[in-house]
Amino acid sequence: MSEPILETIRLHKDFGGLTAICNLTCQIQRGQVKAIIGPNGAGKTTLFNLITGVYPPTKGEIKFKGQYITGLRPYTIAYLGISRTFQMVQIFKNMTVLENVMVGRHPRTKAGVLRSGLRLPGFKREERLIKEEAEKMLAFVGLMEKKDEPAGNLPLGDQKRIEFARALATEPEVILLDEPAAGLNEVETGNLSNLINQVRDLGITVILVEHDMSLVMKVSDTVLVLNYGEKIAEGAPDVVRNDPEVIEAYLGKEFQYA
Amino acid sequence: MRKDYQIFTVFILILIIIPILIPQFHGTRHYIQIMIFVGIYSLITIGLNLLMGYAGQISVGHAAFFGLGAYTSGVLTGRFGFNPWLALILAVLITLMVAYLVGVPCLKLHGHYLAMATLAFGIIIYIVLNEWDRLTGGPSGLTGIPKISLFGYQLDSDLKYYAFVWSIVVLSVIFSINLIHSRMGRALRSVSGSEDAAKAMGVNTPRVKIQVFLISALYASIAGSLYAHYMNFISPSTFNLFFSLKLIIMVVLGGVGSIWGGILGALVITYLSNEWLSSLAEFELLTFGVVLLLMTIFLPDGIFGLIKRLGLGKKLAFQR
Repeated sequence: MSEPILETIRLHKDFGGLTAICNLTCQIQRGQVKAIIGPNGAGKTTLFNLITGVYPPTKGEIKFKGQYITGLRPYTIAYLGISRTFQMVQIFKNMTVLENVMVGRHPRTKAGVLRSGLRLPGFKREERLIKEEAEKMLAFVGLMEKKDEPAGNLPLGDQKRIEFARALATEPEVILLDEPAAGLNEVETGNLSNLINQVRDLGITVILVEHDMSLVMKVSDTVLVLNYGEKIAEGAPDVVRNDPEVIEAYLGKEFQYA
Repeated sequence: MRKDYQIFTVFILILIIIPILIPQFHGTRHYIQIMIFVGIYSLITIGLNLLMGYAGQISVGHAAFFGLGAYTSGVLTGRFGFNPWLALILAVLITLMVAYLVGVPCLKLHGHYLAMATLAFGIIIYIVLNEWDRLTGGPSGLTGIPKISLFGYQLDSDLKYYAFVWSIVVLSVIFSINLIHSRMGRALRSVSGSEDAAKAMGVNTPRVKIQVFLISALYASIAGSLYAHYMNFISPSTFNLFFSLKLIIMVVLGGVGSIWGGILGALVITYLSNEWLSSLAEFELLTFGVVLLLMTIFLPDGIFGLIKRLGLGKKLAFQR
């Protein structure tokens, strides 16, 4: 196999006395969809927060494209090409839908305070490009007709799509989706799995934390199962779903026959 | 954005009409004087609104930046005979330096803690202005501050100073509106929307917060210099905690998160202070407290928000 795009090496995170992630070594190959599953409190979101630099690990390293990114600030990591959505939706309610996505262009654009405030040369052109790119992303997730609405007025499903578009607008090489299907109905979940497939086709690596097992089984190439911060299984969806330890810890007996 | 241009046109028209219209009804001097103060305070509230309304960071110490600007200008021109324009630039630089030193540690704090820290800073500057009497003249104030001239043209009448002050306000409005509708403006609004998401989108949030803090300090410092050269006399009591609170009340009353709201708030509060509430003496503070309380409960988006909702319907009220 080629070099993985993202790698954790003996990654460890304690919160006081509680171990959230325990010596986790895993690799994510470029262009894959990798799902991370496990019971509540297994450390899935913690893993996301470690990768995106929300907090530093207690021990261990994270490598992105062969470079160590351990301990870098979240905005630096976003700049390097890792983007994310949030489990609890974190849209900018004080802005329109389009403006939300335009914020996603931040790491790929340059205008500073002076160039913006004084409308110095180059400003207009960049601003137009920001808008065009953001609109492209909105069209991609199917929210074009709502672009001028206040983002806070939209239903949860749409807000999740805003987050998705905003994350894509940063031109990520890896995108982390934290429970994108939570709170969505069946139709919306169907659309979501299409979106994920399209994103993968663009060559973007997707890491997915999700409880909706049918979605996980449908879109992911490999599945990583966490329990109490430890890896208990990793592999193709079919293999993982028949793993006795995974069934014991998370899926439950009935899923085996589903 | 287009909406802002429309309001901007109306704004300019009003500014031109006021000095023509007011003398028809009242004694000229008094109301033009009030309008000069409104302009000076607007300059501060525009900056404070960028900080509070857009970036979501509070400062209960902005009177200090106003005071630093006024005293640096006052001391340098009044005592050491500096050119007022050079003094103004030095005042801005000194204020920016102080704002940076205060902002870096303070802006790591959130909510009440940030309020407490900036409040403490405001009190410290107030004490320094009072106690460093060899330089500042202490509690009895600093006299002999010269007038400022523009390209050799003396700004010696109220009308001229009115035009001068409001020209600077107009420039600051243009800069602020440009900023809000830009990459950096969206970045600073994203900080108040969700700091975590802003970071995840590559926004260097500590830096953005410092930048907007510096911009607001810069506005306040220029306002201070303008104040000093208009009054020709300054004393520390102008720059006390109450004035910091009054600035916040102006912003909240006019409309948090709207440049125009800041100006409107400065207008209403300054007018009330001078015309109606001055007779209340210390009850003025109490009155403003009640106003602030009622505003946050019944009109959280301020007078400007109300105007927008009445005039344009709920949907448009959101755009700013």
